[in-house]
Amino acid sequence: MANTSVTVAAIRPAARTQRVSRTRHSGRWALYALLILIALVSLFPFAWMLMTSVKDLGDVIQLRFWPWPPFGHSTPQWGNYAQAINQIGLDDNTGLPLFVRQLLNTAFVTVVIVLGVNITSIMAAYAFAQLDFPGKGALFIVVLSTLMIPDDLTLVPRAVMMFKNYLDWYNTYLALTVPFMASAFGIFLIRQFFMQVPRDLFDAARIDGAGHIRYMIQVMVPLSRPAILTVALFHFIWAWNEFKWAQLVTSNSNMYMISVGLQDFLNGDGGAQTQLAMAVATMVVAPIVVLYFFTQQYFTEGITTTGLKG
Amino acid sequence: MNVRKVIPYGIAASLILAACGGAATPAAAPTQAPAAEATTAPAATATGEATTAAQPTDTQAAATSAATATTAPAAASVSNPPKTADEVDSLDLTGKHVTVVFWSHYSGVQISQVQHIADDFNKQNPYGITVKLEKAGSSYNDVYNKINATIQGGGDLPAFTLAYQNQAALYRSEGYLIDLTPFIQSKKYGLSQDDLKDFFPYFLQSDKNPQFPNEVLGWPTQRSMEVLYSNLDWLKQLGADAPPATLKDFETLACKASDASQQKYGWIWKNDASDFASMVFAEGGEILKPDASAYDFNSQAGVDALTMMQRMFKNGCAVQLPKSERYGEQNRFAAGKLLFVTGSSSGLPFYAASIAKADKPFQWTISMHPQADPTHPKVDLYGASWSVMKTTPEQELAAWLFMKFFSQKDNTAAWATTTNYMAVRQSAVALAVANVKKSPVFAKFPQAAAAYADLYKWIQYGAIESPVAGYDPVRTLIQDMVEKVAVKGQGDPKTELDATVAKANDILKQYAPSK
Amino acid sequence: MAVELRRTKTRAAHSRAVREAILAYGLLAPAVLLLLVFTFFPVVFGFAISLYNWRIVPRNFIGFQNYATALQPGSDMWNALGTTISYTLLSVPIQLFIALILATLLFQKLHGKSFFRVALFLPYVTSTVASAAVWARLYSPDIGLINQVLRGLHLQPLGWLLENRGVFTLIASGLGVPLPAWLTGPSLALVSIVVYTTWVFVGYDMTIFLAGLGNIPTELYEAARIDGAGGWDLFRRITLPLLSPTTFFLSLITVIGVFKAFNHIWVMTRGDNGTTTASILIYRQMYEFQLAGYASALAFLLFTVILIITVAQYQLAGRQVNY
Repeated sequence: MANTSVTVAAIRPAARTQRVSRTRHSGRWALYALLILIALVSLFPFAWMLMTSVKDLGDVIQLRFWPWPPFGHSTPQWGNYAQAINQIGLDDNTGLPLFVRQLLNTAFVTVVIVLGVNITSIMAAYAFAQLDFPGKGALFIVVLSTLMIPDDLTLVPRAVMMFKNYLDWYNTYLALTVPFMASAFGIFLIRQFFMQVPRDLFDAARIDGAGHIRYMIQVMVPLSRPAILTVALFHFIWAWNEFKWAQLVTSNSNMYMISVGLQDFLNGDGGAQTQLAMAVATMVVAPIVVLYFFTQQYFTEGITTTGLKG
Repeated sequence: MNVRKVIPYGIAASLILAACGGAATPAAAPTQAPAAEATTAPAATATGEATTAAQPTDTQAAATSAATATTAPAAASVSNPPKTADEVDSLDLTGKHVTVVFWSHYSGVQISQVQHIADDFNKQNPYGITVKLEKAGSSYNDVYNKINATIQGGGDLPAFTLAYQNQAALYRSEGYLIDLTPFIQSKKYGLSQDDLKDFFPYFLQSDKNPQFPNEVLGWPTQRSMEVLYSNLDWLKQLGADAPPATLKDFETLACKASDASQQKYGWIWKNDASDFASMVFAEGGEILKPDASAYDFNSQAGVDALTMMQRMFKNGCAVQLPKSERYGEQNRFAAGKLLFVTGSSSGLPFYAASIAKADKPFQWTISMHPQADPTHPKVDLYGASWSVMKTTPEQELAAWLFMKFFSQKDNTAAWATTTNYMAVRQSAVALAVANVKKSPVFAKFPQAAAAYADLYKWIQYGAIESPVAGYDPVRTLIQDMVEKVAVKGQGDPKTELDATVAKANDILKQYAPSK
Repeated sequence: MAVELRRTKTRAAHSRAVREAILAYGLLAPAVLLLLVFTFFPVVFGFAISLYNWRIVPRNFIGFQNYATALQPGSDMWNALGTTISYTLLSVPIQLFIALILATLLFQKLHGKSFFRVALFLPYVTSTVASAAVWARLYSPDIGLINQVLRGLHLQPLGWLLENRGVFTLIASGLGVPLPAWLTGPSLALVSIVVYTTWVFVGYDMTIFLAGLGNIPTELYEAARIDGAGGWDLFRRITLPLLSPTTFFLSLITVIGVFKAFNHIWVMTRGDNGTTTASILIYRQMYEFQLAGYASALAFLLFTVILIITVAQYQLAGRQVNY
């Protein structure tokens, strides 16, 4: 923040304060109106998805926007959800509905990735922030440069690596998790936080007899909660919504992530009726939206406090 | 942190690392390759060695090595796959409790029906064979992708699978699928001549492939036909008593019905190469030469078909279905927005269900796809078959025995009734037709139910699109071409057809089985 | 004695340094190994694959033939490159511009601020497969809601995702002006996807802008206000320059995000109507045709070009940023 290009002197002379406050008052209403409109646009697709998911087939065919009272005589078809789950079918191995199995897959893969990323990132970030060792600078650049390698460049060879004759991870949880358990973004963000912790704390801990590992776990990690939470939440979203890779390395419906299951349902030869498609979409979206509502202040905080130092 | 300054270093570092990254190579150890020869690990690529095509097509070599894997004493003399009916006869499954896995995308009532028949088989068969059904995705394409993915990715292939002829041909050319002839001819396990005669000859014929002469790559369990769905009430308003028999009438009526301001159209392009193929057939042409030496839909018939489609779009008589809305044509037809749909006869129950739900249910029916010359009709007859993958001779036999059981008269009729596919045996037709007429789904639509019976009369006019390996990418080419030329009205039909056929023939060559 | 002590001390220091280094390597090992194996190694491996005729399985070594095929004039690769660049040039400025406006609007004392924030951020957390499926149905030309509304307002319904004509062509034909062929602009389908992309990312971008705005010292505004500066002056002379690092980094993130864009295009158009970006082209070769060699060659060509353009662009843009 060295110098700004603002020269205060160059700014125009004063305007009358009274006029300002009056325009401000009516301006405020306009502002609210505008913001509400924008929020509605942003939320509308969700509302449409939800509404469509409980429509009757006849209302979908006739393109009725609101087929329920007071404008229509239909009732919400909550049965669409069960019908959609039924149409997706059962898992041959466990007998569970495939949708449930895919939901469990997604939850499992997401949790493993989030934990994995955080553990590897905290460890690496600690080394970069707190320890001295030969090759530190070079290794740090190595880590950062992975941010510059586009996913699409590594996608095909990485997929081939999953095939038989190589790692033979095709159609396994390993393929869905292991390649994503390290994150340059995570390392970088957490390192930034670790670097801000005063060195004195470490010396004090040393006197108390704590080693590096204990210091890392008991002092650094709690102090860097916002960064760690941000990393966790963002990886949660990314992992939960993963589609491209998952579609490429799984072909068993009982190994699908839900996004792949959804796309599969949409393109199925059974012919997914719009209302059923939207019921599945709603079920795919709902868990993450609920999570977001409960954690939204951490998202904002995470983005705000970790700022843009990356 | 100044990212700007880091970028060049990052690139430099990544290049250096990339250069020596080979050190971290994960072990490229070949693991249980199902094929006789393992694919060459690309670690060898660094040295620039040319790898040989890893196609286990050499069945003789594969046979001797794989046959030893089976534990049965009798199997020692049987090659894998069995080459003669006698070899098949010498197999004995008694007490072996073979389990065979079947892959399909069947869901809903279809899978229940197959499961029901499989349960019967598992109980009744004297050999203790267990058939296990596995869901391999939601579409034919999913099953195809899954088999390919398993071939390249690893894991177990099923003992038998649902596949289109061209897909079976691909598996066969890669050495993963077997010829059924010895099983069919087997005295002990095969079919009698009388039995064979009961199958519609055309259906049996459709699983033969000019690329693999004298082989049977699949067993027909389901067939359907590209037909014309018409809104009869609407036709009446337009002054027509019956669905059009000629392409000319079809086009005229479609254009008469269209009114873009009300989103009403005569016909819909639903991004399906089979719709194009049907038009080419109707013009008297074909997709592939009968000897499979080249694609030839750039004939005059192809030009006529594409030109008509182009004209229909230009005149606002047709509309395109967004790719993200599969089967969206059914709702549009039910809403009275489409006068005609050309599509598979197997859609019958779905149309019935949608139309019954519309505000103003109307009478509708299916009829033969309109023709340039109705005295010499040609209709697109298609349907996936069940194909047996190369596993062990015992599993191959077990899979065949279930397929044979599945195509018994009663099972065939029950299957046809459930799915509205055509029954594959002549003796099952009467039952299937009666069942469809009784079905509550068609209660309000007697004309549509009656039309199901007509399908069997049109089998004699059947034509197949292309049974050769690599037809799937060619379908994509065709779809792209129709979209460009007809839907968007860009380019001259003949030029574009020639270009597409040239590309298709390249693919044909690439995928051709190596001799 | 003194010498001895110093020696012990240095030895102790030395062994502590060694232990620290070992600990450091141990801590770094999991992350660095994973990145090496799953990010760096695939680059090398991908190059090796690209030299093969590889359909389902590697068939034979063909040198640079895949590259030659890809580089043919008028090939899919060139189209994909153009589409990717148009998509980026459209998407990034629109996203950032709207996000900046929204951030400035929200950066005031408002009631229900967090509601607006949540409402705008929600699309970002949603599965793109699901939301793209929703949007695709809204965009549907004959039965979609958007065209229903346009018809209701007696406006011209549009082809949206099914429209491959360029937007400039459409505007010009609407005005009855002839337009040279080279000036067609990106297809309406691509623009429709840009609209969707904006909907997804604008909340995220806005949140980051808000953080950036929070970092600007309020005294600056007060001082300027005392001197009588109006809202626009404040924005132009204080906010924009002081926000430039944020804008810079955000545009970096956005560009990377746009290059990655895949799921929604896959769901909405599968690359039809001028929406085949680099990502889509590569994926189709791999997933639909099982051509790993050709797909790898495409990836190398496309991303070398894109990387060079990006780096050059940021070398230039980075100089404009005020720190």
